[in-house]
Amino acid sequence: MVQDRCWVCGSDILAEDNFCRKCGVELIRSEPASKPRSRFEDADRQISIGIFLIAIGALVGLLSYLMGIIPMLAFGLASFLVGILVLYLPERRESIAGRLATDSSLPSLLNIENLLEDLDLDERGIYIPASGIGICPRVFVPLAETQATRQPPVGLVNSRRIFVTVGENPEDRGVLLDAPGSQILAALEQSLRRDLAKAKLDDLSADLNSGLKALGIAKVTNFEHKDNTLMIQIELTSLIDLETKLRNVAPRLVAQVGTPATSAVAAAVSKATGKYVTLKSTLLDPSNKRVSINLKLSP
Amino acid sequence: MKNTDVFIIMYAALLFSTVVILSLLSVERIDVYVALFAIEFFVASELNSPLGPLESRRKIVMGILLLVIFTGIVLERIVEILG
Repeated sequence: MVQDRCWVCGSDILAEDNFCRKCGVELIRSEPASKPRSRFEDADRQISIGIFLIAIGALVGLLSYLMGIIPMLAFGLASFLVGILVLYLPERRESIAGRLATDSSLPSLLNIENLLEDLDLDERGIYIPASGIGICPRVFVPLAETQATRQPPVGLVNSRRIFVTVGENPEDRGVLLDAPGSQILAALEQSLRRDLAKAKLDDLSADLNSGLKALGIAKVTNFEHKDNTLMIQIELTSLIDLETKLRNVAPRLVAQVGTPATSAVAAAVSKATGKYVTLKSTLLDPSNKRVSINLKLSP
Repeated sequence: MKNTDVFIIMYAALLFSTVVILSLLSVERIDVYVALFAIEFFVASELNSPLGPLESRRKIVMGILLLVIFTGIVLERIVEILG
């Protein structure tokens, strides 16, 4: 039975399809409006039940202990134990605000993907170093790799144009984008109350870790610097849904510019080192929610 | 229904039925109840595996705590019998 149409090629899709049979894109289904709300309420109800069981367990346990009634003490203990399990064991579902934020950012990121595809840009984006709290490096995606496009002018950070020319040759052109992780980096700097452009590379791992943790986004699990490459591994605590979706629907964006999380890391490195940064590779391990980010720094 | 939810429901059912049965049998030793609670935790968790990665880690933490308590109870009984 035909249920819907593919959001990319418009061909018919069936209810059980996860991918389009014609173009192969992952199908993003619109969930009923009531679903996120009911999930949110479920999480709230679970917390209430847990607290109720713990309170009852503690009260009954204490009273029966004082009165020396062992079966009632056991009942209180059982109730306390179940309450602890209800509160502690289940992984909390993402809040409705988090889901909405993820879903809202998806279309704008898909627009960048479409732009890269339409212009047939294959080169990797170059993060141009910037300085100042809340000011994020911008990403220059060159039309072709030339001497001029390898190191675009630093002044481009303040440009509001999308199509820019950085040299005299016709190939010295490209697209200038806001980094997908620019707002994450701005929030990170605000939570740390420091400009990462003034941070040393040795301190960047600790700064990134505490900033990303404070925002509830991720924690840094590995940070290795060797010559002009930097290998950073982060474990996502949120945004995993967006990270997974983008890898399915926006491969160019993921590889050339980065997802919000990987882009924020690349932008932070560009700021801290004052160098041009390019994403070499980003690998997602969905089971551990870990992303390995391999960055190339300009000499 | 998720494995975690089934695990919690099954464990709760086991705990409360244990309390009812043992109280009907007039058991007055709290260590007997607690030892059974610990054993039931492992039985219920094995019957409802696997849980998610984070939930598994949390379950292991709780399992270790209950195992320590259970070992303490067993050791106490051994000392009681030998002494």
